Amino acid sequence: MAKSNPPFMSGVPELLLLRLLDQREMYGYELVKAIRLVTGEAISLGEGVIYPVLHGLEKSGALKARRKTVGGRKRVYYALNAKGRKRLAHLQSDWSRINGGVATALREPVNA
Amino acid sequence: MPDGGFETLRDDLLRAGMSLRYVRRAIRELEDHREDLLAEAAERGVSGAQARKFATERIGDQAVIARHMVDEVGRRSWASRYPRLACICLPVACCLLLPLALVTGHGSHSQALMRWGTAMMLSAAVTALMLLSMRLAIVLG
Repeated sequence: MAKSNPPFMSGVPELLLLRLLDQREMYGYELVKAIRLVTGEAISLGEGVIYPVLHGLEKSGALKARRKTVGGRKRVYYALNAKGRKRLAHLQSDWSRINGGVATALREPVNA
Repeated sequence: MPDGGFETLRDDLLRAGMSLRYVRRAIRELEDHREDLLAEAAERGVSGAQARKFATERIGDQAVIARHMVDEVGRRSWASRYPRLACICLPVACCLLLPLALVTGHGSHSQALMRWGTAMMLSAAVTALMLLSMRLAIVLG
């Protein structure tokens, strides 16, 4: 199992979930697999922790959940809505800004 | 952590005052997830206790999940949001209003209805006390 990195994880699961759900609706297990895949297993979560994040996003109106039967199994599928897309754009812009700042700090010699 | 069920999570969420409806839904989703993990383990040729251990580890600590659910969702039942109303005011109001409503509604048999209403009031008070003690047992752990 990949090493988890909780101190740097604040807001990251939310960003990844919104990004993945922007492409198509998915259910919890599918989302965890997709996170592993798109991050090259660099980000590893206790998988159960994904549900509070999904439920929180649903409560805030960023996601819509519906129960759907696929292949004889009932699952809760999550889909992004307009509010979620707005939230994703906001988080992406924040992330790019922070990422750029940290990258600069790591490149430049520290003269503080 | 128990090897399989979500009893710890269920208890933690209910104790935190999350609504039963939400708790049921969350646990159903986690059970679905667990089934998927067991199927994944089976595809890798792992079965039985090893597969269950794999699924349990991947899902993670139930206490941590419960804490996140309470923080992120905070869907608390009305009884836990307004405990005084649920445990004291509402039962007392019912005890007072029920016999009063019967007596005022049927004036011709008011004596008999009063006795019946008193009996009802006493039984409601006993029920309220039982519910209150159950509630306290849950809250105090």
